Amino acid sequence: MKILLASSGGGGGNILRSIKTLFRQDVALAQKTDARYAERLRRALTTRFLDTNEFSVADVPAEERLLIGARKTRHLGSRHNPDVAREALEESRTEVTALFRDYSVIVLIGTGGKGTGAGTMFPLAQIAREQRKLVIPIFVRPSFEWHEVDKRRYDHALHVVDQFDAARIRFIEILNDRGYSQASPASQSVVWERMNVPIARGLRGLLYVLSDLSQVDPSDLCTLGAGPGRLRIGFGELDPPPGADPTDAQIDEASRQCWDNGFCSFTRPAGTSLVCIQGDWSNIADGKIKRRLGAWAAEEAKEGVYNPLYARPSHGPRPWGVTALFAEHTGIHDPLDVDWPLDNRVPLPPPAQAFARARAAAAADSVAAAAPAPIAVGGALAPPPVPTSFQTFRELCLGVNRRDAAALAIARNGATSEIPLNCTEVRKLLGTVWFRSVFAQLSEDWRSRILETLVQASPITDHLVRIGRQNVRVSETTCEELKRVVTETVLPDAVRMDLQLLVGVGTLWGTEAMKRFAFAPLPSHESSSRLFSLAAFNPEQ
Amino acid sequence: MTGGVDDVVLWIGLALALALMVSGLHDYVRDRRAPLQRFGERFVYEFARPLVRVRPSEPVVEARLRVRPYRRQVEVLLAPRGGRPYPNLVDHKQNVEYDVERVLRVLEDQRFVAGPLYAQGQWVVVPLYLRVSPKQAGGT
Repeated sequence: MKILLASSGGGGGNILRSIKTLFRQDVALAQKTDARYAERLRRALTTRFLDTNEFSVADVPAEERLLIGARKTRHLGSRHNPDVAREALEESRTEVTALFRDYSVIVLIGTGGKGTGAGTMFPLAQIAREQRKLVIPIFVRPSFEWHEVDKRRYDHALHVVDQFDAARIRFIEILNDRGYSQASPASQSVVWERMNVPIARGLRGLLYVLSDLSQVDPSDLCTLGAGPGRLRIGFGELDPPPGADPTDAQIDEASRQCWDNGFCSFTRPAGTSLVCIQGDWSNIADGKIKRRLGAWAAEEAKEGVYNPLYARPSHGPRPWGVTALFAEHTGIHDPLDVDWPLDNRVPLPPPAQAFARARAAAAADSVAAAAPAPIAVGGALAPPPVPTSFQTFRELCLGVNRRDAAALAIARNGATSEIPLNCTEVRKLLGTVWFRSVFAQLSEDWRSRILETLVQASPITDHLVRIGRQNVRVSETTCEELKRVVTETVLPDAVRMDLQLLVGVGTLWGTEAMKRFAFAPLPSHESSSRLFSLAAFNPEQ
Repeated sequence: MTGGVDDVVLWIGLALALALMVSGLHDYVRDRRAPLQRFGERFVYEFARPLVRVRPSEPVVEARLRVRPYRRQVEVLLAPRGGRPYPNLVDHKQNVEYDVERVLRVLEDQRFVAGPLYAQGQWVVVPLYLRVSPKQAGGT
């Protein structure tokens, strides 16, 4: 998915500059260890600086600026007046709408200190919502107690917060007050870094998930963003020695860092949350991280409202650790209606030996020694496709899943492809979630060939299954009924495999395709005992 | 004997009259205090509501009420809590004045007006006056 990271006003622009710098450092590190992954990160993200004041974005490349309200403000700023900023945005609504159109996810950053951020953050989020985008506003509530603004302007910021709550738009609220600690005073630059690092690193994890939706369902992300309340973004770094697992103490500290982002306003228990673990360690370490986060969530809410969605990049470059986007539990809400266009995914550039060499060479380099290369986030590079051969259908599907240009070209054709189709292999693929998105990319020829291969494997035993109080033959059931049987009944492996095949075919090709299978009658001497065993396993009995 | 009975009746009557007087006085004072006390509590709640809390359950400012029914006045005493700087009249005078106006506006009770703020030790004192009698103000 393509992600737009847009700031609004001077304060938001400063944060975006900082996040962009951190992100560029991460991309530079990724470039040394995994150039393809770095390229994908770079291409997935676009940055734009929205402002009413031309001077505050003078240092930003022209293509990354979007000045709003030329007539209203003459590009001289909103005079610290949110109403002027709101009118400026209204004047430039067409340009903003056009900008948002190309992105699936929009992250908005703004502060409530003066005019433009306070006046435009909420209307911008509304415009994004109207276009069915997943919008994640990051709004900074300034501190009047420490004289960043006076109380009147602080109340303007509170008004924005109230608007988000009233419109039931979830957002990340950063409280600048939390940056002032008399117990451990720190310089402003240190505090800003502490605030911005979790956002930049958290976004990296989010980018991974959004650029490859095979691990987390888009519908889950729609649930994550649904309803009113706050989001909390966190990151905890883990840097174990090569080939070793992090120690328990390291896991504890990183999990705690990820969980405890004290700058975010977050007053209710964590509900549906996205947890992304990046690092080359064992699944035992993953389990410990998840267990710790789960335990802290359980401390907050006895009712078990914590619902984590886990994502695990298999080859994520450093800095490693755990990033999370926690959502306050504010009840059960209808999922957001988000437009997730399949053709809007960011393809992974084709593999090249040079990348592999770079990765091997860089593995020995220390992370600190990495010199950031001059990388422009938001730049669009289009490497030429490298011809690739795929020995098996599974390899082809994997290629399509990572948007490999060569694989996509083959997927669009299919009639003349020499890649063999193996029934067992296709059946296994049908059982995976990610194959559904691959299937959408396959041509009609491919789909017909795959279905033909599967049908050739028939006859399928016409098992007896229990639906309600009746015993029904599989050949007489609908796809929906079979789905219920598969999900709600404990079945012997052989029966389950057959049923899953039929459900897969019914889901992807339609119920009519299920009728193309031939069914072999269940041997009479086995039918009674099979039925008995099914009945015995059925939890509805 | 008759005189003794009369004395007893007299004393009981006196005691009852005294009790009634005390009860009446108590009710009178309570009636005058109640609206002032209630408004003071609402004032503190609204003053503290928008301030950032470390934990949701923790009070965010120190607060006391000084109710003076005979002057139709309640003084709200506010002080920073937990090492925070707000409220004070040294560097936040304008903010506190703005906040008092804001709170009175939000509470929408035209019977109360604020007097000039002053400091008393660590406390910021907000004098609030009732313009009508407490009985008219809704005291029971």
